[in-house]
Amino acid sequence: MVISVRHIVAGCDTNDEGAQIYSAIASNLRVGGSAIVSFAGIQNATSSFVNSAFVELLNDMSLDDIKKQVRIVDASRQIREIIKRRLTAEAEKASLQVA
Amino acid sequence: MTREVIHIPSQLKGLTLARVVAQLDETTAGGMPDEFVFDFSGLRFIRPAGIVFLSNVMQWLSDAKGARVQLVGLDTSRDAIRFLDNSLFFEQHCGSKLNPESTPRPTTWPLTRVDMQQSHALLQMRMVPWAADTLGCEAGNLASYKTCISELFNNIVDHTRLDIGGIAAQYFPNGDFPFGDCIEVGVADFGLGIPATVRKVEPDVTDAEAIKLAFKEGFSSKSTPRNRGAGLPLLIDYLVGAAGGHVTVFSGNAIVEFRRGPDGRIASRVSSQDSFTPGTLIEITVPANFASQVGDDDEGELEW
Repeated sequence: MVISVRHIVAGCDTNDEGAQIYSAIASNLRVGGSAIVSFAGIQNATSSFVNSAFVELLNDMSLDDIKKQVRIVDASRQIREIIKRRLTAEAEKASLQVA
Repeated sequence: MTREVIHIPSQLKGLTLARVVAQLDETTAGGMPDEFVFDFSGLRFIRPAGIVFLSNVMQWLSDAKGARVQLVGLDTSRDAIRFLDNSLFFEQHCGSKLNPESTPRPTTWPLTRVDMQQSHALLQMRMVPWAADTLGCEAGNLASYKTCISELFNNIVDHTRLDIGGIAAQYFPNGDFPFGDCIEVGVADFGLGIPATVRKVEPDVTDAEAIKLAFKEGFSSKSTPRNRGAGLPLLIDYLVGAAGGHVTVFSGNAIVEFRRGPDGRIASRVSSQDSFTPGTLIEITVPANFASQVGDDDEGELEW
């Protein structure tokens, strides 16, 4: 099932809105092992939103697994860039802390 | 009753704000007067950051310091005073407009007190449509710009004592920047200020060093558990690095400017360390053509 962001939250601006999307993704991953997140109709996302929606997933799985199991679709360039940037930066930070 | 007069400089924009705060510093060094008189008779030109800054200082003096604030020299035959009246400055600080018929110009986003609970809706429903209309582009082209202002609002929520900030914006058809037409926005809050917040985790830094640290990727004051220090660096990357704009940060005793150099790299410069700004004021100026440069409206799948 596709998670339609705009049907869950009014915008992608705050941590609280991100947390709602995280819950939906985590639920889909538990049930079906994968998730498709559609940003159709949403123009932008803040770092706070992305931290709570996607970076939190790094507590549950690796970045490689996120890449395989979570598809981000219908996303504007800004949304694609910020998700990639935040996940990559936080995964690198976590790997440095482990090393 | 003790009374001090603050003369507003003729060009109240950018770094000239330091002249006002320097006067304020001198005035309050020997104790807080009962009344401050802001004399506008010399004012000839004011920018959005100046409007928000003055508004914040006046609010700070009356609310936080208990001083009475009076405004004089409000000659409506002068363009700068009419502009302030059109920006609803006097309506908010004197209780009514100087001229009842004053109204914001199409190129002006008036001084707005922002309740942070409503801030993102204000941005989405009113401010972005205003900017898109003014710049003649689609709202989707302003996604990065909207994100940056949202990041500032989130920052205010994370760090301010009062859940209220202020914002004003202006489109300058013939701006005096090297890149011509520009849109400028000033955003301010009444928080602790960046230096005091940063010093909770880095106690020995100067105010200027604290501001630079706050804009460094990955630095966080951990004021909330979910704070990861990504929002402010993103703002600099989008607006200075990508759009070629200017960002100036006023907080505590320092003013720090972020600019893109000829080599394309982002550089910061400390332009003052002896001024004073209550809370934080951020002045953002971007070339009007940034929306077409960024081009945000293509939806697709994230490719790793």
